[in-house]
Amino acid sequence: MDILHVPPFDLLPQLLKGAGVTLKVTLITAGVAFLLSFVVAFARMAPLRWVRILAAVYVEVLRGTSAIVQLFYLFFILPAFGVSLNAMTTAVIGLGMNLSAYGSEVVRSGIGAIGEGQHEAAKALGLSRVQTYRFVILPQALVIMMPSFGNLLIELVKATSLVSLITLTELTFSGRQMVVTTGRAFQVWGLVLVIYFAMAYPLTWLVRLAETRAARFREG
Amino acid sequence: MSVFQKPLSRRHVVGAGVAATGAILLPSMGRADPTMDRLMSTGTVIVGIANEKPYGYVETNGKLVGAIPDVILAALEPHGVKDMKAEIVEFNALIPGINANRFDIIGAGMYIRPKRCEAIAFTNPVTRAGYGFAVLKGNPKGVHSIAEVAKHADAVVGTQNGSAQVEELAKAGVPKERVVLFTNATEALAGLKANRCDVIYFPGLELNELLKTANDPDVERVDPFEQVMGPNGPEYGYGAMGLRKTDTDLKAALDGEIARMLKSGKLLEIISKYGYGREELPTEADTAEKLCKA
Repeated sequence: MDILHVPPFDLLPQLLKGAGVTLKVTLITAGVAFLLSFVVAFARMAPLRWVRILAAVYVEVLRGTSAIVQLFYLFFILPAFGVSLNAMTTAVIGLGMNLSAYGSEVVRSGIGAIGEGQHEAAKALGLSRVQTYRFVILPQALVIMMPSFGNLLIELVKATSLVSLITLTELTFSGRQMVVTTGRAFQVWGLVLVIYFAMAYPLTWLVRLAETRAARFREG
Repeated sequence: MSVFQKPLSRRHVVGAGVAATGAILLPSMGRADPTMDRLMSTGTVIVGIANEKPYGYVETNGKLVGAIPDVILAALEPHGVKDMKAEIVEFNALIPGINANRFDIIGAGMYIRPKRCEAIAFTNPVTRAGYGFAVLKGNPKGVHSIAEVAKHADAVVGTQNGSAQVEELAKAGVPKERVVLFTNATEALAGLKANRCDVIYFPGLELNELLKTANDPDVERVDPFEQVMGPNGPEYGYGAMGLRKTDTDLKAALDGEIARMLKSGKLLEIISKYGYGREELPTEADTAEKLCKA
């Protein structure tokens, strides 16, 4: 007998489709947020005062307001000003910006944790500012940042459920739709829990792998 | 000196203002109703739904069905529309969604309400329905109307956020602390079973579908149920399609077809597939214009 015709597995095709959307939003957003985190963190340490202020405002506003309201604004209010982004783009930009506000603090604390002596030693060796960061500061700081980034990544997997507000049928929303059509709430939400875990847990391994790779230089 | 180092000049601000105003006004200038033009040329209409039975929902195979979408397709077919695409959003995102051009028509069985008429336009109604209660078996609080809930010492009623029922409960004098708002009917049912509320209050047909799908022996409809009475008999909810206020041609086309289908019996034929009966048909006197004032 085909396993997809036995309850509760007949619910799987639709739920897995939703899980696919969740995974897609998670991975693209993670990439965008990771890059933005560095941009914002460096902007906060920039020599120009107004750049620092701008970056600080960015972080405080995005951290201090709710992500769901930010998404609502991007998706439903912005079109009134002539800017109409599709749902996927809105999700990636909205969640990416929100997450980068937290990520930039991770980057900043990682870099801040590297002692002043390292900067002085690099200068004594005649390294430029860029070289100092590229070869001395960032390799060490990345190792410190990794666990916090891992935390944020797993947080993101679940934060993607917010995008149901903007018409994307991700895992939670497809679960809710399946409850409407089938009425089998217990089975649907049980499966949704399992699928979330099945997505988030491998990510912890991925993060651990990244941690080991980032710390490789220590062995060499 | 680059733009970034200068503070914003008045010219910049005025320029940005003009650009933003233009972006809002331009699409609405020229032809009267660009939506109708596009529907006729592409043959596809995008329908916003909240995924609720029996109004508008997506079947497990992804097909958009329901009383309202079926009426929309029947009404637009003579105008060359063959395809419907569903955009599923939460019920309270339907009005912002249509005004942000995320879809063309709200096909979620939304009731015509004066407050909503301020934000969107409605077609003439296609359904007319009363409300009902669902409770745990035996109706532990013994309530049969929202007036009784209002008078009761501690009965808590659950309904849908942003729905017409919320307004009715407030009007009947049910205090806010005894109203629990859920995202949709299935969640309200789960809330009822988890004792988050004692009774759930929804349009009667929606309750029928809900209980049929859930097939749960512990939950029942309250019978008899007393409808809220207005000056001219029971206060019905009139379900219609929601439109952007600027889409006047689309409204005229839909209203024309609705009137024709109401007369020919086609309307009843369509909605009866979803559990509606003759008594759930609106009359010709029930126009959107009149109900918006009510």
